[in-house]
Amino acid sequence: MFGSLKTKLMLLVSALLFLAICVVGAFIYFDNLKRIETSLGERAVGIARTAATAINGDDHHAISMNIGGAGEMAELETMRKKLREIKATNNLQTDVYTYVKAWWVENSTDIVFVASSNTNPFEIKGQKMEAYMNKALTESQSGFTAIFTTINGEWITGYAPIKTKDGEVSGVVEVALETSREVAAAKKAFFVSVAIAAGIALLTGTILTFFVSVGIARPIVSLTDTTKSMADGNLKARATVNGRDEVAKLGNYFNNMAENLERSYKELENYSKNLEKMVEERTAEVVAGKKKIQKILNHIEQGILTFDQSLTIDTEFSAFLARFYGVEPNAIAGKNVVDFILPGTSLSADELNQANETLKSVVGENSIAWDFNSEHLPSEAAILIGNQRKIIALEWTPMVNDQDTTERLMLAMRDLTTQRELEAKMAAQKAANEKLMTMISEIVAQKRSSIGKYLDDAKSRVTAVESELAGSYNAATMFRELHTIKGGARLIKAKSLMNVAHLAEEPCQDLLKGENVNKNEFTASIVDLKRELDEYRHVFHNVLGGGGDSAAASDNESLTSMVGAQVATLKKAIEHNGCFFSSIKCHDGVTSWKKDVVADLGNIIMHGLNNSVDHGYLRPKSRGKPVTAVDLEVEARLEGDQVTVEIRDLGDGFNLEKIKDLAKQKGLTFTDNENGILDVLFADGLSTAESVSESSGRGVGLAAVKAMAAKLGGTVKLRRNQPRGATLQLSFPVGMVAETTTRDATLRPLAS
Amino acid sequence: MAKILIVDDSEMFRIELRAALEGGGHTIIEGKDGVDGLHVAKQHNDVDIVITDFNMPEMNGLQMVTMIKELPVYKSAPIFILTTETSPELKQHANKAGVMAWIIKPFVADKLLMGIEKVLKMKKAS
Repeated sequence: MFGSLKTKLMLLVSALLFLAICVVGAFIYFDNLKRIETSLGERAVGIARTAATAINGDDHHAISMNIGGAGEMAELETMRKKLREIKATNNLQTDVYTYVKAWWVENSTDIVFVASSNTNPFEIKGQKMEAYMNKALTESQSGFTAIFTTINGEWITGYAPIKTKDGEVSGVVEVALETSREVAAAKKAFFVSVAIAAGIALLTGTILTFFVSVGIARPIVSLTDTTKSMADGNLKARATVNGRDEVAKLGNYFNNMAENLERSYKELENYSKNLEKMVEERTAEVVAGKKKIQKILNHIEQGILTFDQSLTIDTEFSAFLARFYGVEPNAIAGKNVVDFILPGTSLSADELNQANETLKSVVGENSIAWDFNSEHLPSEAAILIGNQRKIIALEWTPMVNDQDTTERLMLAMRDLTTQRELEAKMAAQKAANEKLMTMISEIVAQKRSSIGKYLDDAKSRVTAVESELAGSYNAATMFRELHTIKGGARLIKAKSLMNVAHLAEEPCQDLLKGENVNKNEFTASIVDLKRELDEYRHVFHNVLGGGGDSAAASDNESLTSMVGAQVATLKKAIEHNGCFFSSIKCHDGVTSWKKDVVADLGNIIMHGLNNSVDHGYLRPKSRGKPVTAVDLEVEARLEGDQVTVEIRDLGDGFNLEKIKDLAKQKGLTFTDNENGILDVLFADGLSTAESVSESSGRGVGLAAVKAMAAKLGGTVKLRRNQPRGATLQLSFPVGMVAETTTRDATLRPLAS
Repeated sequence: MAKILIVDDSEMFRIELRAALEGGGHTIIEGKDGVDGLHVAKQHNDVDIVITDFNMPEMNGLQMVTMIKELPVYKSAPIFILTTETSPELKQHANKAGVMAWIIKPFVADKLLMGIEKVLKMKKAS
């Protein structure tokens, strides 16, 4: 309550008023006191004068001269009576005294007692003369002292000179009046007036305060209330402003401030609302992202996990891990990553140790350690889950923080089992196909009758070796048989058969020399040989139709049928390379070829066609050149003692400069004209292109065509074709031809 | 290119390491063991990188590194320790001694060179 401004103001005003009244009261009091003093003093002086007049001055002089003398003068008693009368008449409370100067001491200021209203007057010695006494004694003037206080109360003393007949001063009368009653009355009056003043002040102060508070305090109080209201959260609260004084200004400033505050608060509120929204959105995004990641982790067909330097799996990982390793999802976190990922691993103890050491030296360390060591981490491993063998691919990724420390590694593992099995199957298939192709080309390149004969012969010889193995184990007999098989294989150029026969022959040779031979291994090599022969026989009979020369369906093939046999394969190659196969026109001037050249000529035609398609269309296309649809012409015609076979294409021609450069690079000699340069193309190991097409990949290019033609006594040339493209021209002795006629045909592939 | 001090008690290994690092165009100086390595280190004040074996007689790689790091010119030189195995305690000691990273034996030459290039770039940048 006393803290309130109103109260403070009221107290202040009252105090000021009180003080003012007190000051005035004090003035009045002291003035009053003075008047009391004067009136009492004058009364005391009046009594003293009466006493001085009543006393005979000459007697007083005589008495004073007798002080210290013997006996008491009779005049003294008379004087006492007079003084007693005065005391009684005036109802004085103390005795009346007379004094003189100590006249017997020169220049003394001491006074000496002469007479008193008291019967037994007392003597005082050494009492100093008061100013008033001195004045009365020396200047014959009456006077009084100020009111003074003793232990007996408040007093005032009056003095009057005693004079002789001659008017000389013979002493002084002192009369003291007790003034307590008068002083007390004055004091009482003073305190009453002060009390009244306080009352008036308080009353006036309150009234004044009320009016002042209307002008100053009330607006301030209102301001205070408004401020409190604002502090309590009501930002709309405003102070009431009246007038133009400072308080009103303060009110205005306050309202401005409140305005600003409210605006700022609103802005802040909006901002914080936006912030909240942003935080909500961001949180939602994070949650969504986390859900997405969780979804990925649940559905991805990969094991994904992370771990820190403890090398134990973190709590978040893909569900695939549990499915793949056949464990409960809650049994994964906290497991050692290597132990968990690689159960029954095919990695050697050393490799495993290295992987562990690498992980230890990488995770939680400077990222440079990853650069140095990550190569030691396995990228593929075979493992055992239960008793199932699995192959897994492992991909390790460092998670580096901004201190350049590899905080964790992320490991992604995939199941490679099926892929690797397929690859193995494909590789086996490919090897088998290659072997088959080799066998086919070997068989195709030979006279079928001789192959048939050889196979029959070899079969009986292997049977003979087998019976020796089981029976007498005669090294010489076995060697002879095996050597003959090997020789025959060499004769028909069956390379793989030759190799297997050689492997079977070797231990037999050692046996002949009397060396120790592991019979089991020897037997196994014979089994291999037998299997190889069976395979060869199977290809000969079942794949190529087998049989003797007369049984070969292709023996009297025409050029048209030789070309026709290639259409499907060519179409496949052409379309595989994004080109279009239009047609092959055949002008066949030969009805039938001699049986022994048909297989070789068919081969030559196949490679020739491939070469034309390849160099005329497919390679330019792969280099980004626009090419037309594949249009070829094949012609066979008799020219004197020669039969000419031409394969003409309308594709990309030759770049003579390029061929020339290439020839120079390879250090080949050539005649520097067009034909001379084109002849270079038949040289061994020369290619005008970087890539090798599927058909050329079998190792038969133009050089091979030339070799095959030469085998039949023929020659081969490449020439420009008109209007464009190239012509592959083969010439053979006319003896290869059995019958002649002319047939034209256009061969087109069936639409796929 | 950098001047690299290699310390290993196996001569075969030093030859191998030297060949790999010289392949990257670096200049190599060698120490035959910890004591010799420290001696060689004191004789050169322009060594950029130190690569040392851990297991060596007399003074092991870590002890040597601790003493080399007391030489003012080696204060900022990256130091790598070659080892076949390590332990958390050893790693902690090594980090304190100022070893930048462990290299697990056998080192992979091109990775080692690439890592060194990176370290040199980082060193240059700072």
